[in-house]
Amino acid sequence: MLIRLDPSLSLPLYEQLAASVRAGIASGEIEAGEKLPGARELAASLAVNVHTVLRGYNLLREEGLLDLRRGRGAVVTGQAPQSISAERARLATAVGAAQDAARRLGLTAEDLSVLIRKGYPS
Amino acid sequence: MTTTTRPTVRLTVTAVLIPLLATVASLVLLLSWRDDLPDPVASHWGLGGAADGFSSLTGLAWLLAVVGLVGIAVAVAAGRSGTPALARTLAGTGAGTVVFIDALLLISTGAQRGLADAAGVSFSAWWILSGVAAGLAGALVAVIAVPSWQATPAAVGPGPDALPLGSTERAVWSAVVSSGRAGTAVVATAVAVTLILTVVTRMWWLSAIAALLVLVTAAMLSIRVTVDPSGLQVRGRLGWPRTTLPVEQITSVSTVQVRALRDFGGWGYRFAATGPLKGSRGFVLHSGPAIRVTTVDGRSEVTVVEDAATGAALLEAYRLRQTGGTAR
Repeated sequence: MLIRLDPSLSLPLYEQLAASVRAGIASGEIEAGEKLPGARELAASLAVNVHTVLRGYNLLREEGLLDLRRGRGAVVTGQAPQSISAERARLATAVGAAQDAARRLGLTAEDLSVLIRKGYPS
Repeated sequence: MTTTTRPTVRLTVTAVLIPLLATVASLVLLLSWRDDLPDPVASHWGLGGAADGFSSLTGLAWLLAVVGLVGIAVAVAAGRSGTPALARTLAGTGAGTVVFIDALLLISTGAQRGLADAAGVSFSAWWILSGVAAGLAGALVAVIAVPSWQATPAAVGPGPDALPLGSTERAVWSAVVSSGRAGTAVVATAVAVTLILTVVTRMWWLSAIAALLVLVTAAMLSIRVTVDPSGLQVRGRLGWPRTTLPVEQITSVSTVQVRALRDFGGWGYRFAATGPLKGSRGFVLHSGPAIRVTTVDGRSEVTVVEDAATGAALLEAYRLRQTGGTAR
């Protein structure tokens, strides 16, 4: 799995970490039952505080995507892939709704893109 | 002092030395016992430890000579190796095997000195253990004594496109590799056969071999491969064995398709003596795509892992960063 962090973005690092993992699950790169790197090793590799990694892992645990067990480490739960698929489906629905709303107001796809880009974390 | 061309003469002489000395010393010692030993001498023991095969002293001497010749042949092959690692492996294996056989023969024959009848001597597990210890010592001396040289890395194809990384971005690529079905089946069979033998022959010390097999396998049952700004690290699940390739020592990164049995002769931490990846070594837990790295000291390290392409791309990006180049 590939985990990418950019400290220059306004999004907190632990949220970027969680997003990287969710993206990996969505693309199938990370499978259910797969073990994620240990928090200390990952923090050392990414040159971030170990608490940043733990916070990211805990966030994913709260979302039901990770199982954190002493000695075993962070393991992707069995329902994580479905959870993420459902989230993607919700995104697709939201995009569809946004497209409808934009069309009603006579906006082009380009106009809609500009609107989307404006609010995006950078 | 390391040269860039193989010091063939020095290498061959050093490699030949131990098998040669071991054989000569064993022959001298064996023949000096001529008057003490029964005739014929016991040379084979069956299940249960009783002697069931006998040989003349001359026959044993011939055995020592033949073993010595084979060991010397292996040493000569070591002198013609393409890489220092292969030279060390061949020299160590040749020397170790000759010393083991010689030690075992001397110990088992020496136990019969002063006896009138060879049938009275029964096999002792200590013979094998001592033989193995001597063989390992011989192999170790050979490996240390053999001269090394700065090998030119094997030709590498065009590298992967480096992963585009923003200047403020930090990325880590991590993957777990588990032993394939074939490799695991081979080890499981070996353990089962060893355990069955242990029970059938009641040579309980054989279970130590089974235990060792299990331990070595468990250590490499799964490994974690990590690419981060410092380079490539591979770690067994018990923490050892581990390989660290710092990015500043990496000269090239590429992906290769590996067929475990064909290219490396098996599974585990392997060394390729022949074939398209000759001279390479690394974790080959199953067949498939692998990240291949060459280093400044001429080593070629291969790590089989799924999605090797992404790992290689990120490693290439870090390598270019290190050398000051810009990612494509």
